[in-house]
Amino acid sequence: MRAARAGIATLARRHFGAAVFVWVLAIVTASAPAAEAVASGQSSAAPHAAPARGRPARPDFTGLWQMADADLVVKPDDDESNLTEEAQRRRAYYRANFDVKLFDPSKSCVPHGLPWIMTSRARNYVIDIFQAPSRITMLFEGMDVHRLIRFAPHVVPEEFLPSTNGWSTARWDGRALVIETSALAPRHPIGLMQRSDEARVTERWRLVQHPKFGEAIDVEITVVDPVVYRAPARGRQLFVRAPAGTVLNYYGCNETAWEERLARVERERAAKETDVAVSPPAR
Amino acid sequence: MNVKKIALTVLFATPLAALAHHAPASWDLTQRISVTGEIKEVQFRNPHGHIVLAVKGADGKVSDWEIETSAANLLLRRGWKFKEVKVGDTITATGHPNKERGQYLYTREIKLKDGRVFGDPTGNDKALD
Repeated sequence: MRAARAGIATLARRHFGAAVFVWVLAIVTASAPAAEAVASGQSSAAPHAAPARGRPARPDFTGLWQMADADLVVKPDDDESNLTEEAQRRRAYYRANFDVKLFDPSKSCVPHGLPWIMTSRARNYVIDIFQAPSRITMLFEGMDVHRLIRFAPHVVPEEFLPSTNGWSTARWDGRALVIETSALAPRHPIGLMQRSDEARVTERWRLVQHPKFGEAIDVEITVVDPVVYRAPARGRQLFVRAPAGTVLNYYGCNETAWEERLARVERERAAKETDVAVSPPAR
Repeated sequence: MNVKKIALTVLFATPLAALAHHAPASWDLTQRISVTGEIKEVQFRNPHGHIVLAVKGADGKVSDWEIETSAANLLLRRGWKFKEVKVGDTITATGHPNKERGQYLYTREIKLKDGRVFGDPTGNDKALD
């Protein structure tokens, strides 16, 4: 009996540390999904936020986001040395023959599309992200652009028309969201932002706690486009939560362009005609 | 289609909005100047808005200054109250002068007659938006 008691005491001493470790691990593991739900600002009652039995909780990117800091942004084409000779020649032609201050597509209300839509350095523009079980919908305030990312194998439907945001599908790699995009429409060869129809974009989104900005989406981007880049081009963006009370507004850039065009025509008409027979309607 | 034809197509297809919207390179971001005048026109819109100010010069003559603003959506987010900036009001606009055209300013903030300021509290002079 005495020997048995001594044996139990020895075992307890030897394995006490391990037992405490297992106990702490069990508590941390059990509380992890709740911590993620708080970190992502989502209620765990949301159906898409609830983890399936036996699977790890996934981040929920739902919410209003905005660029954190322009200095942290890396655009895939910032590094001009990675551009192919053809791409460099096109850029040189554009710079030599066009006033880059005027011939910027965004100033004509033309959305940049991928990858630039994810690497904008513009401040205070918000992106509304809705994450559902079947897809993520992104509404970009700038230029009123939408983007759909489907949780599905990457098969582009035949009826899909290549576009500036392409066809995006997503899968989880642990807690990171990996997004593949193809079927991107080529951009006009004249201009700084170049993209061929061979472009493929891979994004890796992670919900992180940034030491300065708090909760953030850390987006890593890789563009493979042999017409434009010598090697896969890398980009980076950090999105942070928009301040409470922020409203996603309509942008209406095209309406402005149309009204300015009308006003210009009217000014030109007035300049030509000293006697105006019919007054323009009052606004 | 050769490159020259493409160039011509782009040149003539460019909407006029492009001519009313300027990249940072157009503005002298190293300088800030202020002008005070009476609002003749004001439009807050996207991608940029504008105000026309009737400004009295040192010689006593009144001439127009064009004041360009950031996007209406961004100004609202920065606390601007559009209804309180009206034709006939006197304001002081502070911002960057245009490098190529005189009497043309990209405004960072405006000061109303009652002393209130609508500006860009978190901005800096590195870039325009």
